[in-house]
Amino acid sequence: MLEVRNLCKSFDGVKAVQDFSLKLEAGRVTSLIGPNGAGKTTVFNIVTGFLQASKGDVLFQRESIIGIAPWKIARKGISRTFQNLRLFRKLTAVENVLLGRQKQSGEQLLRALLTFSENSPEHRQNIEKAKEYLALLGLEDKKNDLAENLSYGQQKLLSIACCLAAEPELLMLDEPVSGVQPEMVEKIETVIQELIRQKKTIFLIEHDIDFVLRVSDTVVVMDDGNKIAEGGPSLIKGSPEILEAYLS
Amino acid sequence: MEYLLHILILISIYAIVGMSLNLVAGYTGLISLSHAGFYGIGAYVAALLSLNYGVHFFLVIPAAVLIAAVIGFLIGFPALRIRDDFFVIATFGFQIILFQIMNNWMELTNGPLGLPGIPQPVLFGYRITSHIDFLVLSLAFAGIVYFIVRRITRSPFGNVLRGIREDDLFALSLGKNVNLYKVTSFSVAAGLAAIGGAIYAYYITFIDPTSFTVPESIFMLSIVIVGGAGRLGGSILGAVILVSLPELLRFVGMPSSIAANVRQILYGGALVAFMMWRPKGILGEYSFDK
Repeated sequence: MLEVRNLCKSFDGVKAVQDFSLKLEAGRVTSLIGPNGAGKTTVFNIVTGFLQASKGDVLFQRESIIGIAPWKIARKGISRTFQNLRLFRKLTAVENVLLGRQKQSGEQLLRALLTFSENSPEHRQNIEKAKEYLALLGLEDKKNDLAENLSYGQQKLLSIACCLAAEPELLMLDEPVSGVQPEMVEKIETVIQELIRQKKTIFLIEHDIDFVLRVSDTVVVMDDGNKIAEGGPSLIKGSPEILEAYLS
Repeated sequence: MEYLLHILILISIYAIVGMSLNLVAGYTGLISLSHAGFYGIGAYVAALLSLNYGVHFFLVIPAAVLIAAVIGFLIGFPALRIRDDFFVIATFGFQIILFQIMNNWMELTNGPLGLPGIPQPVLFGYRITSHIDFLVLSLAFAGIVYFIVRRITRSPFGNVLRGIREDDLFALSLGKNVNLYKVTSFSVAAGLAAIGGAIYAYYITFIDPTSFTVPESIFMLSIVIVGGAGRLGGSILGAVILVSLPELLRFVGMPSSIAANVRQILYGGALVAFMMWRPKGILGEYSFDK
């Protein structure tokens, strides 16, 4: 599904990512872990086009996506959340999720002006889909609330709903449970388990090692821009060095 | 009575300009200081086409919209690659360039001497001459602009604009071609502002570059900020307040030479006051302080 080949990225001479390679298999959950500053988010940003790599290649569905604009990469089927929560704060929850929907004809100016109707089957279907995703994330009763009025945990759920609304091939979650209450962690985990049942491909960054071990098929460990280990959750469980050195 | 009608006509024209600027500033979150330039382009297109070629009003308006929108696109395309405060500075620069072109391209615009004697429009065999005629005309176009901006902002296209205003990186990550949306919003707003400029030229029958200056752009932005960004009704309310309030100075017996300066102070003061105490404006949904 996704293949990262020999990725390098430097910032003013500081090597943030060095010769990093990775293969993601379809229908599986892969987690990227490591200490702060290890280069995890840099990898995410390069894969999604928000940063340009100094070297290397990224293949999605066997096609190179390196150097492509982020919106084009998103349209190819990669959706992501951000470590620093990003949302459309003055929009309602349902409007937020609607923005995740792709190929809405009313998003073109001429159609918006000339033919768009709130009662059109297409728009109604998009609204229904948006509500479905809100329901999946347990936010159905918040659909008309402004995003800024939701709790932090609910905002995290909403950002995931926006990504899911795009019906991506690959969902990338940057620290989905950091900073949220334990009950919200449980909720997010339930959603991820549901996505796993639906055979979605998920790539996530997370510091909560217990959460990572529960949801992941593969765990990749990064440190100082390098991949230092890769394997199933048992690899991490069986490696006190990794647990102690990088995740304490 | 004519004085009151004159004020109402100006309110209608500035409501057109305010609503168009609201599309780009209030709904898309791009503060533009070049709107008076596009308003001026509309006025000059109307003046030149009717003075030199006798082009009919019904062709002049689409021509003014099209030319301003194309120039808006050409300006917007490079300017929108820079973000936030730098975009404001770039539009400020473009406003100065547009003013200098109007002021110095003698062969086309007659420079500071302006263009007098703009013929009043004839619609369906009826010549628009009186204040009441122009009030009906300007109100009709204010209604059309309201309808257009409302259609745009209530559609999925408008939802994307509001999304870009709130967080353009998140919009990018959801597959929205942010630069294209921004430049489209900018050029549509430029085109709609030109309608206001064209009606102004027909109404006053004389234009010169002093009507299309940086302070005029700031005045237009004040309409959006005071009325409320991201709400169409706010632009209408902003136009009512900012056009009519300074007129009250006439009734307190202030000499017109002083009143003109006090007017500018009032606008500046209103902007500062709203930015400090109510950045959302009176009816606004969006606040420029984020």
